[in-house]
This record gives sequence, structure tokens and C-alpha cells, in this order.
Amino acid sequence: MIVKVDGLVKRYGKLVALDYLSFDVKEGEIFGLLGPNGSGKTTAINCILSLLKYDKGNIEIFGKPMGPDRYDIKRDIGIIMQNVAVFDELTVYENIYYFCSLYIKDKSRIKELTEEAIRFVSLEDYTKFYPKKLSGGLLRRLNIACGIAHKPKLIILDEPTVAVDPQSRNKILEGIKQLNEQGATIIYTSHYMEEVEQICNNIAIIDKGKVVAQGTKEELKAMISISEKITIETYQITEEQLMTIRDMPNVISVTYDDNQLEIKSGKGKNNLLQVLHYMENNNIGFGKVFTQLPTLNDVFLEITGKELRD
Amino acid sequence: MAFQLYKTRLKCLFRNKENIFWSYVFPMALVTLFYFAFNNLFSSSDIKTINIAYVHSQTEQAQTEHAQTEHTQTMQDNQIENNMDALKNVLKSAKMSNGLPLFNVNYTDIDEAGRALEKDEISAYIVGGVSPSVYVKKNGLYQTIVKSFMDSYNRGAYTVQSILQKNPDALNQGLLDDIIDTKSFTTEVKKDVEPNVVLTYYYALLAMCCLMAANWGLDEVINIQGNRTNRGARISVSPVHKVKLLLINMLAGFTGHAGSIALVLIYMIKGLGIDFGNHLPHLILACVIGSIIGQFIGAVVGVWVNKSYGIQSAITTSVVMIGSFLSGMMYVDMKHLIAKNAPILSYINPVNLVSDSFYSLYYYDDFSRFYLNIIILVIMSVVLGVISYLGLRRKTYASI
Repeated sequence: MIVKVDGLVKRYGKLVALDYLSFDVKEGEIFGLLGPNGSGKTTAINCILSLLKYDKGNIEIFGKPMGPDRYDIKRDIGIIMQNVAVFDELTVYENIYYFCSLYIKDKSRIKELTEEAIRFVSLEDYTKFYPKKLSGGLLRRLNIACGIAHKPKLIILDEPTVAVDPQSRNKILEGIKQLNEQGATIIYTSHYMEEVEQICNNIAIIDKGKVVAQGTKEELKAMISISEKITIETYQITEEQLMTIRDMPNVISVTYDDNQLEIKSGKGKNNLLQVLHYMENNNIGFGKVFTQLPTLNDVFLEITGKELRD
Repeated sequence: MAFQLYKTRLKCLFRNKENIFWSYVFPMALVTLFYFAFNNLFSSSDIKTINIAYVHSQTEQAQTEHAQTEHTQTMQDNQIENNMDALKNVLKSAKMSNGLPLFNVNYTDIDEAGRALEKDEISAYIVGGVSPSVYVKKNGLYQTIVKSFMDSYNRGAYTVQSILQKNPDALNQGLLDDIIDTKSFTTEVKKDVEPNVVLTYYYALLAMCCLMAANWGLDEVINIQGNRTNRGARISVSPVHKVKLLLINMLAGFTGHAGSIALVLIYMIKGLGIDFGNHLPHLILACVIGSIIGQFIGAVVGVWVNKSYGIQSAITTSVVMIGSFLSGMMYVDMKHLIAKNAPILSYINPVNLVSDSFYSLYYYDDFSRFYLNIIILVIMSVVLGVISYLGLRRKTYASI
């Protein structure tokens, strides 16, 4: 086990930020901590890193209890904060070099690792740029390079793609996969379910400071009753006809809003043909039709009763 | 690794334009401003002989004519005539420190004097009599000199007249010599040094520059605290011991600030010719201690004042500025007022201790006062250092 969090409690006065939070991160996996804003993801990360005091619980990293003086553990951790943490007065190269030199003593090794990190985040053309001259996406890449240059065994990324353009976001996500392939264990926090679905192979859904569900994305989706979502564009449908569809076998819910008929169905039987057949027989005109497998948002919705982006 | 971190930190500090402005440009500008302000105010070399007119008063004129025609001089007649002669003599004999006469007196009538004043040919005219009076057209340095001179003369003349009225023999008893002969009751402490009030301003200014290191200390502490900046958080999770990093950063801050003090000092001594005495190593020691205590003041604020950086910075600057004010940087008598009425403040105000160290180096032959100041500053630095360390020892935070 690379990280073991057991019964972590953190209170800010009367507010319980972490409520007996527990999860394990295995070696070599990309572990996703998914939850809405304010669910306790960053607090959990800060506790894991011994930046924040916590009221109860145990944290082990690399099988050893984590503490503020555990420099032997810190040596193998890389952190990429939610906010960009670089020096405005240093160039791209100097920033990476500086943060790398906090971990590595040998000058030539620092240089080598700095150059490698620059290549990894594709900032070769910007080495002499100061952070203020970089775009938001490039700045995020610099932030990542500063966190990973020393080749840590455990990399913690706290919402690294906030306010990043799609192109840079893809670049960042690909990079994380690559780091994982090179042997690093990753903890990735986000409120973007698509990102977590795309890269994580073990996910903990967190709400109000506790893990509400944990597993692979397939395991999480298997936890809920919905197996398919059908969306049909239609302009004329009566309340009575909606009731008929609702009564069809295996249909869990039916909503009609903004000319979009949405049918959620349970596991097993495919309802699409049955619904289309009914609409044709009852002269209900329809346009675009598409089906969707359940997302992590559906998992979150079914477990907590609210949307992930609330 | 330590040198590498020190070098990078130094790079950061020297590339921070705000830092450079406040530590390098601002003190130089302030010193230059002080120099020109005091130079104009106190330099007598620029003052030229003042053109004035002397006008006989109507009574004076009438009495003189009467005396000439009747040859019957009363006591008052004598007094007016003596006064007239005395004032004329005093005006004639008044000299500046460079030996040139202070006044160029034109004896004329009131109409001619008025015309000359109107055309700015003279700075003032004096109407003689028992109580001579001064007439000016505008305010200015020369007019102030004439007015002050006459005020002083009138006070002296009144004293002499009062004594003569009560004891006409006083003149023969030498009492007037006693009045004229003013004595100083202050002890002369050093023969080869001219007392110079302006130096107090310069010393307080240099002390303020030293203590401005507080802003550097504040920045260095902020940068390594995990609950203050994102950089601080990133640094806090690195495997470098916080106290080690603090020492490296403080050393870099000290180097940067010491550079600015060296520059200001060279500029003051070589460029502006300000006299700091002949004890350069001691002078440098006082600057170094001043810079160190400044850094620790900033560090204490950075560690213990749990407010935004803006507020912390304002507090730091306020501490230094208030200290500078109390040590006489804005109002020179403040230093003496504090020493007289609240001496304890003189001993706990680091700006005053540093400026007083410069002052004692300049005025005293022995170093006892200088070393007393230095010892107090060292003790204060150690106390502030310990207070900073106690705060920084916290490795985890209640909130971020």
C-alpha cells in the first residue's frame, strides 16, 4: 500500500470537514478523489501531506506513519497544488531547477532532471520566459513540471486542470498517464467526473468529508440501478403517453423538458426499441435519438441525491 | 544545495522591482532630498550681504535738530542719540561667518527708503528711535534675518537701558560686560568636532534604511510558511528542514539589503560628504546589526500577525517609520524630548539605538555609549529571533 488513510477527522470549529475519511491507494494506480467543491478533497490532501493538523485518524505513506518531520517520506512525494505555486521572479527553467534542488543535491543531476521535466511538459520553447508571460495552460504545465522534476514515487495532483483550455487539459491528462506508466503512483483530485473517468483506475467518491463509494469506474456504475439513459427529441407528447412509457417494464424514470424526453432504464432489457415502437404506433413524432451509459455523475446523484457540480 | 538555494533566492530578491525600489532607489532619493533641503537651509555660504536702509525717526530727527540749535541735551536726548549711534555701530559691525559684512546700510529718509524697498533694491529698512522698527515688503530669508537681528538688538538695548535707569554707575562697574559676555554651560565633549544638528537627521535616515530590512525579513518568512503562500506550501512539503531554509533565505535577504546600505553609505560619505567620523568598522557594525534586527522585526510580524500580506507589510513599515520619527528623522527635537521624558523608549526603539550608535561614534572619543547601543541591539535581535523561531516551529497548521 502506498497511501493508507484511516478514520481521518478534521473539524473547523463546528464544521466537520473530514468525517472519518478512509481510503487506500495501491502502488502503481491512478487513484481519483472525486467530489464537488467543498467536499473535503483539498483538506484531505493537506492532511496527508502533514500541512494541516487533524483531529483524529492515521495516515501512512510507503508503509510508514506520515508526519511533518518525515523528510525520508517527503523526498519521494511530488505535489501539484490547485493554485500555481512558482516564483514570478524566476524563469521557467529556474523555477523547475529551484524546486528540483529542494530534493536533489547533485548539480548535474538537477540539471538533467530539470531538462527532462521541461521536455515532459513541452515547455522547451519557453525556458527563458517568466511565469507572468505564460498563458494559463502553460503556467499549469510549469506548475506540474515543478512538482514532478525530482521523479517522485507518489505524485499528488490537486485539481490541476482548473481554468485550463481543453488542449492543455488533454496534454496534462496524457502526461499524468505517462507518469503513471513510468512507475509513479498518482492521487488525482477533481470535480470533473470526465477527467476522473478518463484516467483513474480506482476512484473514491467523496461528499461532506467522507467516502460515499469507492472502486473502479465499472464497479461504481454497477452499484447503481440505472444501466442506460435514452434521450429522444420530440415536440408533441401528452402526460398520458408519458405515463404509459413510465409504466413500461424496466423503466426507472421518465422526464420531459425542453422537447427532450429522457428515459432512465434499469439493468437487463434494452428499452430503446420498445419506446420507439410505442411512439411510432401512437404517431408521436421524434427527431434525434441517442443513448448513453451511466456516468459517475449518475452514481453520485443516486448515492447523494444531488448533482456532482452542485 | 544550500548555496544553490541561497543563489536562487538572491536572484529572486534582485529581480523584484518593488524590493529594489524601496531598498536601493528610495533611500538614495531621500538622502539626496535631505541633502538639498538642509544645504539650502543651513548653508551660510549662499547668503550675501543684505542691503538695508536706515531711516531716522521724526522724533530722533527733531531731537537732533533741537540739540544742534539749543545745545541743551536732556537725559532722553542723550539716550536717543546713544541708541542711534549704538544701532548704527552694531549694523555696521555685524559680520557673517565668512567675514563679510552682514548688512550694507544706506542712511536715507523714509520716502527714499520706501521707494528702494518697493523696487527691491533693499530687503528692509529700519526706522531708528528709542524702539527701532523694521519694515519689509515680503517674507523671505533676508527679511527674517533682519527681523531676528533687530529683535535681538531691541532685547539687549532694553536690558541695558533698564539697568542704566536704575543704576547709572553700572557702566563703570562692568555690569554691561557681564550682560554682553554670554557663557555656555554645556560640556564640550570633543574638541575637533563641530556640533551639527543636521547630522541627527542623516543618522536617523541611515538607521531607517537599515531597519527597512524588515520588509525583506517579512518576505523571507512568508515564502516558507505553508499557510501563507502556495510556494510556501510546496516548500513545506519538500524534504528541506524549515529552519535551514529560513537561515538560507534570511542570509540572502541580508546580503541583498546589506548591498543597499553599502550603496547609501558610500553615497552619503563620498558623494554628499556627510561626516560619519573616523570609525568605519564600527559604523559598518552598527549598520549590520541594524539590518539584522530589521530582518527579525519583519520575521516576527510575518510569523505572528495572522493577517494578509498587505496588512503585515503595513505594520512592518509603520513600526520602522514610527521608530524613525521617535529618533528624530522628521523632527530633530523629538529625539531629545524622548530622551528627557520617556528615556525607556530610547532604549527599546531600534531605530534610535542604531542612529544613536552613529551619533556616539561621531561625537565621543570612547566607545562605551556605542557598545551599550550595540549590546542592546544584539539582545533585541536574539529575542526577536527566538520569537520568530517559536512561531516557525509549527510544522502543521490549523487551517490553510
